[in-house]
Amino acid sequence: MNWTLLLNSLLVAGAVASLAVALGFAVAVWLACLRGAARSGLLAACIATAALPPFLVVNSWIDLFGRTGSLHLWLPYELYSFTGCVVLLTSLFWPIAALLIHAAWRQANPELWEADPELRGGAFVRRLLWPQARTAIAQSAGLIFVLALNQFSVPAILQVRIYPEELWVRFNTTFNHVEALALSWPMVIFPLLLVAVLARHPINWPRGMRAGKTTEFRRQLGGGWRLLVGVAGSVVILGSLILPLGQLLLAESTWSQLFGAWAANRATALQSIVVAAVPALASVGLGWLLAPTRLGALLWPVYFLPGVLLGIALIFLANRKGLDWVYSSVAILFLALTVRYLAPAWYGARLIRRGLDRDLVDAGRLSGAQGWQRWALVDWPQARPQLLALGYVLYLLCLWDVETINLIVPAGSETLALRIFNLLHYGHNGEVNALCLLLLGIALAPLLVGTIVVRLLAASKGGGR
Amino acid sequence: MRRKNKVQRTNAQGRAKSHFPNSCGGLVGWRLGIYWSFVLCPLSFALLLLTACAPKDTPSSRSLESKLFERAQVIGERGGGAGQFNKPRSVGVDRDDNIFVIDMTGRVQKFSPTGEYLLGWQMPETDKGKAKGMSTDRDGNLLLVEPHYARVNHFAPDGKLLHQWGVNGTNAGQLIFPRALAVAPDGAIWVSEYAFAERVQKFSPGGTNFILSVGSSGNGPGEFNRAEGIGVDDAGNLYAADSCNHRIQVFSAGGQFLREYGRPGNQPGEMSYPYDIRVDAAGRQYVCEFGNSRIQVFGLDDKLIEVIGGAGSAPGMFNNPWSIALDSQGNLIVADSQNHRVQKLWRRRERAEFRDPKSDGRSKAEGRKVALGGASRLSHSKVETNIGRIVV
Repeated sequence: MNWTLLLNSLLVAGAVASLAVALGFAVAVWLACLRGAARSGLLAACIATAALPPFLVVNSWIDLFGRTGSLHLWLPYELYSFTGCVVLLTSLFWPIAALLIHAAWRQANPELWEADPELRGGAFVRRLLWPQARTAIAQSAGLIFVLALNQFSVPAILQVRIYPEELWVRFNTTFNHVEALALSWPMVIFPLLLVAVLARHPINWPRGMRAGKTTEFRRQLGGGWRLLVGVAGSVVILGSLILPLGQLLLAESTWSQLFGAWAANRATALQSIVVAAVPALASVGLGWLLAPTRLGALLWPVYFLPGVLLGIALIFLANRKGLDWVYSSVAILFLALTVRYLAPAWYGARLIRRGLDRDLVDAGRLSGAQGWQRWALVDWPQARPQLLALGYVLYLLCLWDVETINLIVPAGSETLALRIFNLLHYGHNGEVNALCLLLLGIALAPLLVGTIVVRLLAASKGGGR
Repeated sequence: MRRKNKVQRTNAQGRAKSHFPNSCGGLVGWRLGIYWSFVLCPLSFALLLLTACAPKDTPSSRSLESKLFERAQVIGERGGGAGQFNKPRSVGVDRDDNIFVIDMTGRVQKFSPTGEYLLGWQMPETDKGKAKGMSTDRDGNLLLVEPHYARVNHFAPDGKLLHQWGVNGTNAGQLIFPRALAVAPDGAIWVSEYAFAERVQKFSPGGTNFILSVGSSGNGPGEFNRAEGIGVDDAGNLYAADSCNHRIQVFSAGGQFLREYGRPGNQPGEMSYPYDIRVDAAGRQYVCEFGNSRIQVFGLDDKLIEVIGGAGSAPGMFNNPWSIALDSQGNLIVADSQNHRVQKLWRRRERAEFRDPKSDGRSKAEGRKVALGGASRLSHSKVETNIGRIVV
């Protein structure tokens, strides 16, 4: 047991959780001040930031603020350091806090906001906003702490020594599965605690929220606070979304090497799509089937554990006679990613099922619709958009995944994310930029294809009339 | 309304029309079946685990359908013990054709030409990072480059550290993330670097003096985008695997750009992240492709001769190979990185011709390079055959 690295991990996770919650709180306040298109834009920015792959952000930051970066002198600390790692991880995780806190406020009873109209500025934040968001703050802090604790790729690229890396290195050196799994207990405790806490205090996702009274909110918050959260929010969005995407899209090397990168990685890119799409589809399907039960809750620890650990467990289980067809083929990646992301799939499907129109479901049942028929005629027509959205989120998670598949990827099944991770390990490079752009293209492809299909279907129906 | 219409599609008995026969929906119950599968799958899985508890045996050698090589021999396996590897990154060959391998754990291991483990040692410092490139000099010593320490180590074949050199920096003559090295026929040492300085530098034997620097960052002729492995031919020309430009560049011994070949892709003749290159006495160039997991052999005229391997784990197949080396018999040694093993491709023996290693005082590995077929540039007055050594 390397206590120093464990302490390092806890410090990184603690610092990231604190910073991310503070910034998320600021952005949530800013969100509450905005209305209309501005609010939608900021919400979209939060979601886009949360959806960015970690290595893309790291790549951009290394290019701009690394040892030879054009903005190196602007950064008051060394990027390849504990501070650098904390700041980068914070830039990845603050949207979780922002969205949860924002949801908590929007779900609050409107009468609460009108209880004391004379509350202003700091008192308004202290006595009203903070208490209303306390549960959401605690939940997001816990979530971010666990996610940061088990994050592996960012610290590994920035050469910051943390405990999951110790597990990875130890396993790679000794190939002792039992020892690696035994050493992982600190990484297991925190996810289990989180799952236990969230089971008692479930997250209230922003569904069916009431619209807040923005004008009154702004007045009570006051000009000083509005300026503060506006500036803080702008800096956060700049650092975590605009800078990475701007660097990626504006760098000349991204475009000059794009053709070469595509030509050299065509097979890998197509492989990435398959490796992401199949587990996403399988997870949604299994999640939907498990949704009426509570079995899926048991899978949450698998999601919150370091992916490296799941990889080690799968090597232990599948590297055997008789299972070689799984272990040495792309099936092992399908299995790993499906298992890893089944919990969010189950949770998402459960929420979607709860949103189904009970009258329609009952009508279907009374009409004799069961099993497949109920799915095709009752559930799917109602839940199609949400299920597709859930599938897309899982597709993105699988597409970005490096940690789960890093140890188990069979020959010829390397994904684009893994290739970027491997190349990025040796520093920033124009080729990495081009590969990140390719990966973003692959991420957006389903949306594009979906839009085209919907338009074509609409056009054909219109033509048929 | 469309939803309701769908729901109300029923049969005469008032039950919804089924898209599946009753055996699926009625007899067992579709959902029950699924639940059963959840129970049965783990049970079957557990049964499989109980009945099978050892990894599949993989053959250690396999014949190849190649013009140049007759068989592939697997050396080592995944592990941390003697004779085992964890992502071998670089291979080298000494004057007696012994094989040296450095892996991701920073261990150097020495094997006999037939693959028996002989000895091993740990690199003294690995905190900042592990050693990568490897070559042998005219005296048969092993040269190992450590990128994160910006230095080159000279080891005796028994693992004794003889000499270290290298000053960290980006100026000419200094080293910044040196990646690989190659020893020219005159003993000069070429060192490729990446990240902060895209260049290949040439030093006098022993690294005592800086001679020249080749290249800068870019994708034009003579420019590099992460130069990885390098090789030198008999004339002292430098061959650089320009990995992220997906091409090979050739320079004269004096550092002048001569030519380039290769383009990105996965078709024969195209390249995806070439990581290493070696040149035999006949001018054949062996290119190790990390991205396509294969070895491509190009002729003196840079035309493709053949493609060896592809992604896979059987002998003769590769998984992200990092490095290659040629021994005196023309056998090719491959660091098959993600398969955690080394492979030795044995040269077809019936056409092998060799030069006398004692004739010019050079090391056996350099002097006895293979000259095959009509492309030989070697004098027949200086050849000998050594067929016996090739037999596995």
